[in-house]
Amino acid sequence: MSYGIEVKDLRVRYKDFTAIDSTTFQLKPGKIHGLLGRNGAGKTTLLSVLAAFRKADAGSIKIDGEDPFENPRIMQDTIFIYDQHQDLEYLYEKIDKTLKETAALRPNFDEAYALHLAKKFKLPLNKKLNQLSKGKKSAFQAIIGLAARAPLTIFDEAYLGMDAPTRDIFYKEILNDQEKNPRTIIFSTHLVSETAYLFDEVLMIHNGEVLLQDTNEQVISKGFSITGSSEQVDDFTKNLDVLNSQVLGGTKSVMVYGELTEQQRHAANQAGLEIGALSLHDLFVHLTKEEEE
Amino acid sequence: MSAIILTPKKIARLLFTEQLKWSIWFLSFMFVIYIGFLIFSGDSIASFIDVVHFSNGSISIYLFVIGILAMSTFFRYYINLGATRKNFFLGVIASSMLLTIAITVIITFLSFVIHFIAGTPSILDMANIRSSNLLDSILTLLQFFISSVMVYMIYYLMGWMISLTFYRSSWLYGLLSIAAAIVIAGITGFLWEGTHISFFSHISDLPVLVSILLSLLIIGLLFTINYRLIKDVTVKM
Repeated sequence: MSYGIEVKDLRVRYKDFTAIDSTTFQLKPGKIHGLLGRNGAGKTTLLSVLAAFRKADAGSIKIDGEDPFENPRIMQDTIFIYDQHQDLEYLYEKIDKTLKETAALRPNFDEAYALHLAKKFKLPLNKKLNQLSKGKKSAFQAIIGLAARAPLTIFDEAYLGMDAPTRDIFYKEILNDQEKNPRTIIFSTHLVSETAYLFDEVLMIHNGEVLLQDTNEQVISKGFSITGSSEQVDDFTKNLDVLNSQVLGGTKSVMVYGELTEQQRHAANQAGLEIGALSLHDLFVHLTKEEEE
Repeated sequence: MSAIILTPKKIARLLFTEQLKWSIWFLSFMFVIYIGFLIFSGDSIASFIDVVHFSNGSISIYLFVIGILAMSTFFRYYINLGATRKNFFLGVIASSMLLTIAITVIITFLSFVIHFIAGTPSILDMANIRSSNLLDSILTLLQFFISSVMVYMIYYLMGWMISLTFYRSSWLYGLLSIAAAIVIAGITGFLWEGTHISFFSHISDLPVLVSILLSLLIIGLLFTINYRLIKDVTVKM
């Protein structure tokens, strides 16, 4: 089971600061959506509204066709994993007992899978939660998030504190379990380079507004690099949206945002220019760059 | 579609079980202290107060404190598990009622046990009813029971109101809620003697029925305030 999401003209304000400004987008059910944005872009605010942790100031949200706020069905079927280390600091229960309790209170929770994951993440089941290290606490939360198999699963930078190998296990488990038990996953991150392969779709936000939304492939296809001699590159890109350029000796490499026509491609080849693909990371970094940076 | 798991009933049961555990610890400590007083008070046992009056004040404060904890300990836990604010609110209300009743039953029972074992005054002695009239005794007990449950309930709800106000708004409103709680505690003290703050206690000679009705009004008011505070509160992250 997985839920689709429709957000229309959403606005969230904190006193005199607008965190989310008239945002409209849709998320397809059963996909892994990467929510990309820089620090303070409004990722967590957006997610907390989707998870019904916060009421929107204006606009509408429909999850599986209903407003999630105070909606017992949608709230029960949503799991929101964010940094809860502070809470875990005060939990003196053992991990296996906590997993059992969670299993009893979450409708689709697969306890056997949770135990399997605990083994994979090397979580000592008989240890108390408050005794876990930062990385292990995150791993514990990741386990809850995965094993809950909630129709709407939200991971908000859930990897904080995990080391690289643990993060790798986490990402692979998301893909594995998603294949067997599809649900709608929103994965917010700014570690784009290592998570890009997870996403079916990408939603990039900046300063509280949607910058772009498309399938991962489509997003990547919107950017490319052009390398060649300085004059030729300049000549070719004078009417294009250049994100970034680097010069090394007489060679220049620029990142361009937009799509190339067949004609342009042909012309580039004729001029001896090399056309390459951009990574999601490159696009993210340069699209969200502020003027003064 | 799966049925809703965290219904008010389920939340109430879980909260009650947890808070009852705390309460048994609390009452045990208090009981030990009472026994200690009995032992060291020498031969004046007969004039010593019973365990109920001995502990009345501290139980109110205890309920005030766990009312505060209802927010800080349990709210986010249940929301994280997918409960709605409304179901959590109803769960807290039901569990706090059960808890105040349970505590009153336990303390009354203890009072009689010690009375028969050690010969200390019972609740009835403290109410100065020494007649053998069964009806009078039952009425006294009933009044004690109702007043205790209501006073405890008011203290619990006040604690919860203060923590909710601090959770929801700024420290200024938080301080205002403390001031409001002091006033409510004062009025409660006026209705039922033996609470911490008691304004106009010299004229406190209200008919029991009026006290009960006014207490119900205060409880209803606190329900309303707390619901208004929680119904669309932002969950802190």
